[in-house]
Amino acid sequence: MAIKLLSVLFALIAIRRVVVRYRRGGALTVEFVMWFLIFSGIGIVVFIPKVTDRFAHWIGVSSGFNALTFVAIAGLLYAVYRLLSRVQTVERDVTRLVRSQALMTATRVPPAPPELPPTSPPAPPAK
Amino acid sequence: MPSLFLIIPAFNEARVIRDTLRNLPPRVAGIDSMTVVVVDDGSSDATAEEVLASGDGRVVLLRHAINRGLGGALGTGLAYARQHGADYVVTYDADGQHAPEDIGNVVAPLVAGEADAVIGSRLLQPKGMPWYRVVGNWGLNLITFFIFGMWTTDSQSGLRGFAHAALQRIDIRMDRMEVSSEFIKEIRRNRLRYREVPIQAIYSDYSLAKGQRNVNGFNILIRLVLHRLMED
Repeated sequence: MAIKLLSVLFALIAIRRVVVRYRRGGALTVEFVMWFLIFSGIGIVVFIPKVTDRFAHWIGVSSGFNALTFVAIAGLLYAVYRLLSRVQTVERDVTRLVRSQALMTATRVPPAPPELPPTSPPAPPAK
Repeated sequence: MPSLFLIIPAFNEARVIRDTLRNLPPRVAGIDSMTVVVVDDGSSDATAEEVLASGDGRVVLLRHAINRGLGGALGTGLAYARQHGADYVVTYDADGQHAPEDIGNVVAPLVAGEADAVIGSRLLQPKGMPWYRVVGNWGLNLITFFIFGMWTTDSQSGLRGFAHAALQRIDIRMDRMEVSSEFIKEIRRNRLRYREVPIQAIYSDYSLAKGQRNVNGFNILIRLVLHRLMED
């Protein structure tokens, strides 16, 4: 029972975050719908495990729990891949920006003044 | 009028950068004009001020507003060299681990038209290199070979040279230390004529502390694998 309650709690917190983010304009509608369905699904599926057994049979694994684990790992791997791609793109853009600024502000080092030849000592005062 | 652009990436090198610049050779055989491009990679110390105070009129200072890593800094230096029509480019470490006379040794096969890309290898005659560095470098050579399919005796060398045609073709995308292996990949991808020349490695406490640690090899491996998987 504890795991069911924890799952529902987790799903509610996650859904709240998704909704708040969407309202603030931080997510596209398609992202909102996707995450809403995923977290709602987690909250609902713990109460009707038979549904997952039917899904497991459909994708060809032995039990509903295995099927969910399989889908969860595949989903997480895909999310990590997307995240890494996004980070890589952002890093490249930052470098491009920093580079163009550096190229625009290139500074030539002023050469040191040439060393003057040693001056001859002052002539002794005339007597 | 062959021109050489010497690119020196520098991150927090205030202690040594002026000596490194002072020790550069006044001229290089086969080269009429030399421009030294120091890329200050977002240093938090007085690296840029030391460069400006060097009094060497051949030096151009490019400043990164924030640190982008070795690859980012080298990419900026290469972009500057391209913009200014460099005939030859040499990359050179700021920490004083290269012997200035090796610049000429790296440039010679380029000027003679015998190669498009030259790597100065510290491992052809590994005198004075600590054993753990030798082991670490061979490990990274193997990683570079397995990922990019090209064998070199010093894939992590900071002293490399490229002729004009190679400079136009190489496309550096990695920002951090793994860029050294990316140069090898680019040499292979563009089928550049390639040479290795032996160079000295001058190890001081300072350069040993600044240089790559073997543990960085794992980071480089992970980044190279990710780069290989996510290439676009």
